[in-house]
Formats: sequence, C-alpha cells, structure tokens
Amino acid sequence: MLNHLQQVTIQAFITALAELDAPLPADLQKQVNQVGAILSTQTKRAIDELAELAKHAYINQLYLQARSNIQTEYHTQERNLKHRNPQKESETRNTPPYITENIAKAPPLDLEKQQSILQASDSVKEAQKIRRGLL
Amino acid sequence: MSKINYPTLDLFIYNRTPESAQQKYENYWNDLDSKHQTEKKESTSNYKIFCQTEEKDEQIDIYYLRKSIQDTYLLYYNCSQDKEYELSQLTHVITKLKNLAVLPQIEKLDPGKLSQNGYLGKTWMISIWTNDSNEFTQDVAANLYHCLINRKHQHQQVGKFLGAEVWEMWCEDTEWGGIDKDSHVMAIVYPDESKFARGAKYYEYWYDLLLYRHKIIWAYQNGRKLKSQLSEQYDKSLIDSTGLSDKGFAQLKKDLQQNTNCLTTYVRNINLLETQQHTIEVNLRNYEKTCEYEFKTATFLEKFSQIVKQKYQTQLEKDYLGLNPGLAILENVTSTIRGMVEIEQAQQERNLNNTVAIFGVGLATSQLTSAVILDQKSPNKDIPFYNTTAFKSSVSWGIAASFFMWIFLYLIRSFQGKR
Repeated sequence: MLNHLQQVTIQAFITALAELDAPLPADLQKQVNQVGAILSTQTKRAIDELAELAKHAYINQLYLQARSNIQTEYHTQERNLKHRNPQKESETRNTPPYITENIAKAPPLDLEKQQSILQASDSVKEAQKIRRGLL
Repeated sequence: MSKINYPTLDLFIYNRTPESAQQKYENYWNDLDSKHQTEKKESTSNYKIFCQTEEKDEQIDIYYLRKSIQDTYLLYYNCSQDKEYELSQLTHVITKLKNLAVLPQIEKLDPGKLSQNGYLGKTWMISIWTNDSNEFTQDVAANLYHCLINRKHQHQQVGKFLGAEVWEMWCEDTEWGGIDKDSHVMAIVYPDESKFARGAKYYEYWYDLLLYRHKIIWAYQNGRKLKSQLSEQYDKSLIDSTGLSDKGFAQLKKDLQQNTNCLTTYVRNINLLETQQHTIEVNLRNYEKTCEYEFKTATFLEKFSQIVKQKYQTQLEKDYLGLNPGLAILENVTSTIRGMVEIEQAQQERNLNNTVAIFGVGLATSQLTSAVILDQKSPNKDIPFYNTTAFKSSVSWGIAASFFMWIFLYLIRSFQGKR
C-alpha cells in the first residue's frame, strides 16, 4: 500500500502526464514503462525512479506544479479540524484597544525553603513537598 | 440515549517562561514531531497538526499551537474526532483524547509547567454538539471532570453561550484558598453543528480571556504567599526597642545585621504584594472588557469577576494595609539600633584615640627626659641600664606625664559632658 508521500508523487506524475501536449520522448517513455512494470512488486523502488524521471526537463515543471496543487488540496481536505483556522489563530493579533498590557512579576522562590530542601535529611522528599505546595 | 458529535478536547496552558527554560521549551517544540507516533499533516513554527488513524480509517486530529500573548506563552493542545458517539461513551472518548497529548516536561516539574514560579495555570475545555442536550446532566459533567482532573469538582455553574449549555467547574486551592489553577474545566454542549462552527471562531478570544483569568488567580496566590512570608519576616525581626540599651556592642551589631536583612526582604516583598494587586486590577479590567466586547451573552463568565472583586481584591488590599505599618516599625527599630551601634562605635574610637594620646605623651616625655639626663651626665658603664638614673627618671617622668595626660583628657571630657 502506498503511503501518503508516494501517493502524492504518483498522482502528481500522472497529472503532469495528462497535461502534456505531446507524447513523451521515446527514452523517457521506455523508462516510465519500466517503472510501471515494477510498481506493484517493488513499489518503493518504482516511486523513487518515478521521482527521478520527474526531474526530466520535458515534464519537470508540470510535475512540480501538480505536486504543489495536490499538497495544498491534501492539507485542506485530509485533516478535519472542522471550522478551525490554525494559520489565522497562530498569527499575533493586534492588541484590542480596550486591553491594557500588563507585565506580571513573580516573587522569587523563598530562599529559606530552598535552604530547607538542601538541608533536609531527605532533600528529594522535601522538594516534592514544596512542589506539591505542602510547605 | 442521545448521540453526541465531534468530541473535542482543548487544553490551554499558560507560562511565563524564564530565559533558562526557553531553550528547553524550543527543544520540546522541535522534538514534538518525533515524539508523536502519528502522521504529521502540517507543521509551521507556531502550530503542528498530526493525524492518528484508528480502526475503519477513522481519524483523530491532534493540533498544537504556541503563541505569545503579552508577557506569557500559551501552549494550546486540541484533539478532536469527527465522529458520532453515544453520550454514554463520552467519558471514554475524552480520556482517549486526553491521553494523546504530548506535553513539555522541564526538569522534574509537572508536564506543561515550564518553571516553578512562572506557571500560571491551565484550563481544559470539552466541546460537542448533540440534538438532545437535556441528557447532558450533572452526572455526565461530573464524570468528565473526574476523568480530566482525577478528583471531584467543588464548584460549578451552568450558563449559556451561543445557544450552547456551558458547564464550568473548578476546585479550591487547599493551601491559599483561591481557585486551584489546575482545576478549571469547561464543557460546552452545542445544540447543532452550525452553533458548534460559530463557537470555533471564538478560540482566539478564549486564548486571551483564559490568560486574564489565570493571571488573576496566579497573582492572588503570589499575594497570599507574600503575605505569609511578610508575616514570618515580621515575627522574626526585632520590633521592640526596649532593652536595647542593656545590650553589648557585639549583640547590637548582630541585631542590626538581622534587622537590615529582614528590612531589605520586607521592602521587596511589600512592593511585590502591591504589584500583585496591580496585576489583578489590570487583568480583571481586561477580563471584563473581553467579556463585554467578545462574550456579550455569556453572563456566566461574570461570576469570576464577582469572586475576584469580593474575595481576591479585598483580601490582598487588607493584607497590604495590615502589613504596610510593619515596614515603618521595622525601619524605626532598625534606625534606632543603627544609631546605638554608631554611638558605641564612636565611643570605642574615642577611647582608642585617648589611649594613643596618653601613651604618646608618656613615651615622648620619657625619651626627652632620658636624652636630657644623658646629655648632662653619661652613666657608668658597669651599672646595668635599669639601675641608671636616666632609665629610672625617664620611666618615672613618662608615667607621670601619661597620668597627667589622662587627668587632662578626663577633665576635658567631663567639661564637654556638662556642656
């Protein structure tokens, strides 16, 4: 079974082929056929070879364009995340005019507590107690 | 039993990240891809989306987002499944979604905490839609709370938001009396998909609103801790100046050292207590404004404002008013001790000067005497030096001169004392 990236490669290649106005040069066609012959038995090798063939000047530009389109489409279709827009959500929003910025200051850790950790007979236990807020 | 759709779990974690933890946090973010065994769908510097495929090609979307809001880092985790379930399965589904979260663990702190004192808190939010919200009962909400927080909730309120029923639950912090910053859970039950979709547009506002909420709780807890530290420092300090005159110089110096240290810490902490009050004030204003502009119909959110006004602000104000006079007392007593130490020091220095003067005069007189005598008549070389007239006379005159010098200084001191 093809994984996601392999699917993208083969689909982009086929899309590029479909968009060509003329047949492939003979040597390229021959190599494409060879890939076709091993696709079901040696999938990985076939896809790798297909990716190499896609670098051929005759088809490369169409292939890259098709691949880009497929990936964009894939991203928006494959994940659900219904109604969400991660791109927009991740952008830094301008602070609304009604908001006052605040820089909060944390008090330093209590030195005496740190000392008590270091001086305790069981420092790990002491530290855990402090972390749990028991002291 | 009614059906529920698209179970979604959100986790909002807020931290103020110290410099020391930033690299570790960055490493966590970069390593997130390898830590997830699931397929990655999208990844940018600020969000990552993974997809876990279950049986029958059903998929779960896992979405992480990191964001800086003012001085705080938000780490947001979202996990959802586009699937219909029986309501009875909801707790099981939410537990499954919760367990898929990969959270940063810095040193030995709890997952999600980036530092000991800069961690503000977290909120879990569950969203679903169902055509029969009446079956989403108190028991369902309580079970959901228990599966996320591992204990029973102590407080709850039910409100409305965009036509959805909202269950908000939390616990008290046993140590400081405020809201436990790790205990906040909201369950939003939308009546249909369109409302659910509308609700999804509000995440950007939730990011902000929950930050203000957590900052207030965090500042309140800081304030309570500072109050406790200030009380301890006050109790440990010397605040009674009676009996100081009976103490020796060494003891006074020790008291001064102790009180100066206490005073420095006290000043810092009382200022920090005031800072926490300002933090609460500013964030409460931001919270209320965000509610007013973005969550107009969600009146249940006003309950938190009431708690802050009635409890947090009043409590910290009273703490400050109760502890601030301690600063003046500490300053007064420390000044008194400092004055006494300075007087003692001046006295000791004067005594030393007098001693030097007395010995100096004695020595000079002695030398002068011996020089004059030797000049008049050289002693016989067979007589030991201590039996010579010159030696005896120089010692006697030296002692006599020192004595007169002492009398002279004594009279001057007495005269100055009377003036």
